[in-house]
Amino acid sequence: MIIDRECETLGRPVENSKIWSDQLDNVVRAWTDAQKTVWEKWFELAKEAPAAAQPASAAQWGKLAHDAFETWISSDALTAKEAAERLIASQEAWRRSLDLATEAWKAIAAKMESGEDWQSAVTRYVEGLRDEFIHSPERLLHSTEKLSELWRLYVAEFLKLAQPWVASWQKAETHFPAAATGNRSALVELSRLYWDSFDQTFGRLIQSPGLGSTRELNDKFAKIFAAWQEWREASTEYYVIMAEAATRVLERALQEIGSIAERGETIQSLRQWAQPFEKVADPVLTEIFASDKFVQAQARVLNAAMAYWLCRREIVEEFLKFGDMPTRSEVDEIHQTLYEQRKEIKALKKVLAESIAVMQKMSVTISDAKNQQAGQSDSDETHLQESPDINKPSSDQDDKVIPKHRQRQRSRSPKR
Amino acid sequence: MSLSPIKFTPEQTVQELVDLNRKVLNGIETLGRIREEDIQVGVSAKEAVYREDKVILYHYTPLVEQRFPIPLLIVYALVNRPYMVDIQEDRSLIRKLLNLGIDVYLIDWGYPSRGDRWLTLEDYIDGYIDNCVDFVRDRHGLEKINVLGICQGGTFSLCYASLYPEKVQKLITMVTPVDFHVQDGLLNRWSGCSVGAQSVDIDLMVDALGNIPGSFLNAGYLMLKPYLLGVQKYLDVIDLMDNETELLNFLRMEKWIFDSPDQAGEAFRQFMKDFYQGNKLIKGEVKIGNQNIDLRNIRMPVLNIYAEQDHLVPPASSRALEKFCAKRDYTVLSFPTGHIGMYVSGKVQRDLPPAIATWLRR
Repeated sequence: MIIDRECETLGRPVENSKIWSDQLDNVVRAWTDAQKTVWEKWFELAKEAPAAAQPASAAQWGKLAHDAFETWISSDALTAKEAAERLIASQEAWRRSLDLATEAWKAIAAKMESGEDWQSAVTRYVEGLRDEFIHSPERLLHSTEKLSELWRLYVAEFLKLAQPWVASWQKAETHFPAAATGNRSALVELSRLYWDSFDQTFGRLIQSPGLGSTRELNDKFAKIFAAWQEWREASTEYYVIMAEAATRVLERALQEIGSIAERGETIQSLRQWAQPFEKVADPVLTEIFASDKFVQAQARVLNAAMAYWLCRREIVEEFLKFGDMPTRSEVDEIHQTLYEQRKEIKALKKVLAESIAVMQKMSVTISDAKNQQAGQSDSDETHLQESPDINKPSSDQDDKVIPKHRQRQRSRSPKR
Repeated sequence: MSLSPIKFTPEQTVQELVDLNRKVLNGIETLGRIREEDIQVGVSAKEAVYREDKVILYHYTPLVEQRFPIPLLIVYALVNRPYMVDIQEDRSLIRKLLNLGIDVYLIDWGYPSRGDRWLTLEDYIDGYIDNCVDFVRDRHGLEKINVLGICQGGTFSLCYASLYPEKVQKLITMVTPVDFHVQDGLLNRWSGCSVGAQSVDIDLMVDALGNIPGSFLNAGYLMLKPYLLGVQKYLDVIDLMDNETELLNFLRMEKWIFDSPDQAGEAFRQFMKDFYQGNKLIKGEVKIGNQNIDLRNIRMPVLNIYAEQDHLVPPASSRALEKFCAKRDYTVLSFPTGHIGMYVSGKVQRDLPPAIATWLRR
């Protein structure tokens, strides 16, 4: 569907105004297409679509959307721009949830018309959906996307870690479950996707003259392939749970709609139609997200992504070294050295400041003692002779008599 | 039972979509007209009085003549920006405290870069916080000052007060996690309090990523309530789009929510492993540098404030403090709101600042 691709583009922060402008037509098209899709589904549901209304309305939206997005694109406020992106994404997610509920309710209504009670109709529909997900990973992915745009964003965070392997990652999704069950052609396809990606990235580099295929390098490639496989398996497991979560949200929403009908209440607008979904979505998801099964699956996919990332770094660093360029690990090492030295300097400064404070204190004490002694001597010697000002504190020493808190202020310097 | 509860016609649907889309498009147009400088946050006047690396200590300009003599140092979390406590003039904990005569300082941790990857909790707690506390003590000629720790900053403040009880007159903790293994917290569960060794491998994560991207953590926070925070919130805002004041309030919150600094790798590693996974704070096993954190050292008066519907820090996690600190003078205060509500809810804005000021003056 067009909107998927467009939202993908919108999801990325793009600051260049030219790129924003270039997006305008696509965004408007996606927006109007989305409206058409909603209307078509509703007209189909009601079986009495005033078809003539559609093109005119779509054109109207085209113009409105164009004007709105043009103002948006010319804006220089990143916060507002990003909020607008999220607003559009939320509209899409909302529309998808409506689609999902509408599609489901159509099927259930048909069963009810043929005499089935609504509870078992809901159960059967949801069971059918589950089966379909398990046997069709493509649909599984699509369905999880339908639940919430957020999931897409969350997954996108994982994807960022794995560029430029995203294409194979997405294509591989359809082959993984089959491969996991021992399907040979799926395994071959999976392997091909991996090596295609390899050829497009590391493969080209390895052909560089002077960087031969060594045993060590080959080991690293073997390791990254294993890491990639683990990551794919973990992702599939994660998606299965997400699909189950989506199904369960739908199931509860349908039950909620059934209860509304049972109570003799009615749904009189699109916003009301979305309410059952809104009511159940987060509580159901929270319940699933709190389960050990989900926590383990999430941990597995994260750990696998991180392990893959580390393997990838090892290989990238081989090429960087070959090209006489600093590696991530080397930069980290420099940062660590700088950090340790900075810390040491702070500690030394602190010791120095403390020593100065002690010396100042000692100086004041000595000065006081001398003053006292001088006072004593003066009084002793007054009777004997007039003494020169040899024991009188100097003006310099006077300066050192400072209040306690000022002493601390002078001596204070960063600890670390 | 009626076959279908749906009682609206395609014409009504079209009309509703027309209205909705008009609002959305008008809203997008309005958003397009807003400039970044219109979205002001951190509104109260302040002065940077101490800097160390990327950390800045701010002193807020007093608003009243007669001030309480012991200043209050606010220690905020690392995971979000501290301007949330001063997000706008009529929603500012800081401004209200200033109006009540409290002299306020705040630590701004800044945005750690890759070069800060090796910063540890010791650097944050025994380094930056201690240096800021010393600075304020020196500036005011005091042996002790008051400390207010918020969220993760509250946990840091507990560690600090345990290490340096002689420097803290009174301690306030707000929405602060203490018992990290309270089971009803989704963050606690995701971090592994229920599945042990099968949880996220923090070492692997830090080794792979270095600093932990703020956007990555933020995606996780949004996943705690995906429909509300990703869909519902934006549907609701459509109705506010023609009210510029409300829209700007919304945008300030959006700015704050998505303004998440990266986390210094080593500090993140220790915080996740020792606090979330090991729950070592309440066991007295956390080590900051080579010093042990013993909550029983906290003998100064403590005011523990929590949110009754907090989905990030479960109330039970905050309330646990009572069991573990010395509790000679321990007061607990709660509000019927969520984690974010503690900064913006009308009731909290009205009742919390005077409660803090009264308690400090006690």
